[in-house]
Amino acid sequence: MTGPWRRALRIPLILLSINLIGGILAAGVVSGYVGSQESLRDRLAAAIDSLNHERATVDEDLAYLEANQAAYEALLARGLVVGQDRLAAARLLEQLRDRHGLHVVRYSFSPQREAPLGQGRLGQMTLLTTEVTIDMTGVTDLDLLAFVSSVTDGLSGDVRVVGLSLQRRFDATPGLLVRLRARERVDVVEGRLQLEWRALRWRDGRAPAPGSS
Amino acid sequence: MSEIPLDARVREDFARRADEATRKPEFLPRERAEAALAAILGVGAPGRADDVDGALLAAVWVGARRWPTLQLLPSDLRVRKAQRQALRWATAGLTASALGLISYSTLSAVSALEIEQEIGWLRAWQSTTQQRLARSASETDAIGGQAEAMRLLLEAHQRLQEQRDSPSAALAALRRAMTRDEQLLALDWQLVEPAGGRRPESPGNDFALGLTLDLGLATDPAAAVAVTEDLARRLADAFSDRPVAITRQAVDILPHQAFVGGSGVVDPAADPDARLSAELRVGTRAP
Repeated sequence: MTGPWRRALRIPLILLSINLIGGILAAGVVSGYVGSQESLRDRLAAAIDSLNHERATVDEDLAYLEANQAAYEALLARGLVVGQDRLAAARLLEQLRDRHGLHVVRYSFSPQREAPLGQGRLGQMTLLTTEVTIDMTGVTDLDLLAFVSSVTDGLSGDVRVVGLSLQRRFDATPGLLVRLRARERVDVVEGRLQLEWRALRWRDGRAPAPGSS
Repeated sequence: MSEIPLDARVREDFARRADEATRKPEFLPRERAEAALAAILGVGAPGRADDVDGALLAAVWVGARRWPTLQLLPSDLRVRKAQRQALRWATAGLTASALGLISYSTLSAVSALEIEQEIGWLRAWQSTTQQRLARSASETDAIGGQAEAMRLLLEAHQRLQEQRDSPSAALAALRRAMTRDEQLLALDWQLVEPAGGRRPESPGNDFALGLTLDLGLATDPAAAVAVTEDLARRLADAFSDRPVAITRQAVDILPHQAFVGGSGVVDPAADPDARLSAELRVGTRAP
């Protein structure tokens, strides 16, 4: 490039350079601002995703709680997570004997056994088991069966029937009918009920359960 | 200006000679032309100042060149001309770069505005979500209890339920299978533990049912056997997923029994052991 050209282009080149440098700087500033805004937007979006996930979990828990609240409270009301009250159980058996007209009800409670309920999550709970044997006599098998049904429904916690045997001791002879009409106590049917009376307990000793009485 | 038709090689030779002849800086323009012409023609010396033919030839030669070797404009005018051209180029460059920057800035501003709007919307959404989350958490606390504890307790209860089996269902099926004339002397319902011993986590909901059938109303042993087999068939229908077997007939006719008999009327009251009965068993569910 010759001298006149060089002289003539000096100022325009300087202006052009300033323009370009300024433009690049401005573009960098704008691009940086846009980038920071995009970064902020992405962080907010991630935070909202996290919140939505958390909220979905809470909603799921809420739905589960609402759907199972009645069953849960029924279990608590039934005393699944409270200690076993043997005196209350004995009183219940006597009341049921009177209600169903049984002649004799004898019961025996074995010492309570404790064992982990299971592996994993269920290992947080201990299963308390008391084996109960009830010998009973009455007039009809229906009385005994009704008594058995009331016992399994009335005892607190969980009741697992292990064995039930019924045996007729007398035939329905006219002489038996006469004795029955005379309100004589005749043990026509005898039976034995074997059951496991079970309850649960938190292994970490926490309170029985929220809302339990 | 028309061009003198010359052979290319001759033309190149003329150009070379003219170039060599005009390198003397002391020559005036016309003298350069004359020197070039002399070199071309091979006369070796510049012509005189009043040589009209030389000037004409010089004009022809100069006019035939694509780029004039001689600069006719004064130097200040040449600078001005270059400045004007440079200004035009610079103006064009500046305009283009300004337009580019304006376009880029506009697009960036629009993008930034959109992002800011999105950020505002996201912030509002975040606030709403946080409020809902707080409300949900408070509701969770309000209805009392942790979902995890509830899940665990219900799961534990489900496990206990799986280990249970009530005799009532079996007795109901038994009632449906028996007629009003048939009576039982005894029944024995037993929960059957799973093989390998009972563990708290293993299900044990299976049972076996033993029955002692009173056959006192049967007219003879054959009728008693028939009644027993008939009941066994009905029990097999009622407990279709379990084996039903006659474990003892009214009379000892089974192959593994000792068969003892006699004749005459026996009073059951006088000999209770002589009462006709049969035993049946409903086994555990087939695996």
